[in-house]
Amino acid sequence: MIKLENINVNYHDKQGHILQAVNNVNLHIQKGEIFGIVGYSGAGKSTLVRVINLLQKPQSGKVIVNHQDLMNLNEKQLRATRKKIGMIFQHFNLMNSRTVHGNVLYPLRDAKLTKQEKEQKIQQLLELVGLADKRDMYPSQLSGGQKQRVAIARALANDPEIVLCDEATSALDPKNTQAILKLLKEVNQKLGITMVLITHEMDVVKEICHKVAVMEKGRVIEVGKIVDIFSHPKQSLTQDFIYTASNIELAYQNIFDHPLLANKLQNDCLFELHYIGHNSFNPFISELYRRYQTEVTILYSDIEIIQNQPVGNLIALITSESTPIEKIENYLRQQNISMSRLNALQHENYYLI
Amino acid sequence: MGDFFYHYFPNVFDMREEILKSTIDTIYMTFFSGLAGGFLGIVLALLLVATKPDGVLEQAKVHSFLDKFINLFRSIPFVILLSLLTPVTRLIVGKTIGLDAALVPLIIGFAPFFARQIQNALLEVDEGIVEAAKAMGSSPYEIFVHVYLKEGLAAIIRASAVSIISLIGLTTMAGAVGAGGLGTLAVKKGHEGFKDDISIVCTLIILLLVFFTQWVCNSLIKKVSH
Ligand SMILES: Nc1ncnc2c1ncn2[C@@H]1O[C@H](COP(=O)(O)OP(=O)(O)O)[C@@H](O)[C@H]1O
Ligand SMILES: [Mg+2]
Repeated sequence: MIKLENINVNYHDKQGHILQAVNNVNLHIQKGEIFGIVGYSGAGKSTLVRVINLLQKPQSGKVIVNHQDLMNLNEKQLRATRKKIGMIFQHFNLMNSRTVHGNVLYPLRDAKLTKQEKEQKIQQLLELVGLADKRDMYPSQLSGGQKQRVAIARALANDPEIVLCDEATSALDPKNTQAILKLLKEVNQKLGITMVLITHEMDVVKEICHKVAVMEKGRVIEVGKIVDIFSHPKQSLTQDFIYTASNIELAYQNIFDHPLLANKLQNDCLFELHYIGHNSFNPFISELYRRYQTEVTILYSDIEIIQNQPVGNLIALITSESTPIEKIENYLRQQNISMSRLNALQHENYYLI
Repeated sequence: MGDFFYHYFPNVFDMREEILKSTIDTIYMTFFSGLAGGFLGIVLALLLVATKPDGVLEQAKVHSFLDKFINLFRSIPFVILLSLLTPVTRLIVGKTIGLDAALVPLIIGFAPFFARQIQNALLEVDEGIVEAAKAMGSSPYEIFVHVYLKEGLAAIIRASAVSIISLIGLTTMAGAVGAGGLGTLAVKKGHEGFKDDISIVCTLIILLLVFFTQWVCNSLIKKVSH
């Protein structure tokens, strides 16, 4: 559906320095996919997503959307193509002088529809986003979540095949974020629209994306299916993102700050366990005790469902007197559970990453 | 009451027709130079905003030329511009004295000032909305009309109020080319003719015109902002 080949975008600042905002990026986004792009602020995400509808012309590279090389189109053809690529923004960018109805009508201004068909279309879209009763209100009268719903309706007006979302939930509170993500997921499933979703929050990616690319300093440093990335992140930046998206970081803080627990760490060994897939429901802790008389004290544990797969994280104290720890590690590996040992010193290092 | 009025404004009653005519002249000059200069100014402002870096029709050279051109004309004091433009006026209206002759320098004095005001008003329009409009496949023309002019309307009206008020000020200098109006009346008859009451009445009428402009613009702004 979308193919980016060797994309380079440079900006020149006032001193004449060249800033490589996007550096030789290759991406292939399949039809019907929700594709996430994460990275910290300034990584080049917005620049990259604006390349897809050529709001940003790359200095070099190919942009192929629906088998069409967009760089070969003239201005008029490009405008026609853009009508088939919806876009939503962090700050909504609604026209303040138009009502909700007026905003959704704008992209339909020269659609080949009768007035009645347009009205019908607008009604349908407003019902889809749950704003049929706000039809005649102005953006200033709406909440952030409602504004983003209008923006989504507007983006869908021309039956696009692709919707680009640049930090669509970053200006919203957690509740509205969830609601908007749910709506986007629904749009993707119901209408089969391909989505590219830019964000700096791994939570958002975890919630709805099928695939994710991690960006750093203009480069894509890691791409893959969500479950693979979450279970086996290769780059340290990716690990960082995953840690911040889970509560594990906070758990460590609690563990190390608490004097009682900190004392206990002197004698016992602290381990981090990760598991994916349905194995995670096997009662491996009682199994460990039965087999090796190993005691496991859980300090923190959570299970998340990512793309229908359970992914678990566990921090535990493991006391094993009679069995060497390697044996336990082996057993867990057979159960598809990865285990790593941590101590206070390592923990410091972990924070230094 | 009548006594009071006659005591403090002895000449106003006698010259009432002249005052009325001057008032109409001032309104005439303001209206027509405002209309023509306003149109020119908006076109210049749109060109400036369109050609700016990252504008919809980015043209660095055109932008910098226009920018300097406008600055140049804004820097010439109006009384000097009046005489400087005499040949141009003769070319366009065929004479260099009178009400219509004053329109030429008024338009040329007003347009760059207005362009600057409107440019600032247009720059207040959120670039995000322009970006969204581009993403929806809008042409540059559509972006001018549907985004810059429509979204910037309240700011445009506010800028217009300031500009019209300053234009009323410019018309009072038009006496220098024999155009009449309230400014000329106040100076020639009021000041030089030792009729202070005339000056005061002229001032009051000008203030009235200014307040009226402000009031109309404020009502319009209320109407268009949501
Ligand atoms: N129009 C621009 N001119 C110059 N530099 C820019 C421009 N837009 C973005 N940049 C720079 O390019 C880099 C990437 O920006 P951006 O794509 O907005 O990152 P992100 O969306 O990941 O935060 C940043 O360093 C930013 O300062
Ligand atoms: Mg960004």
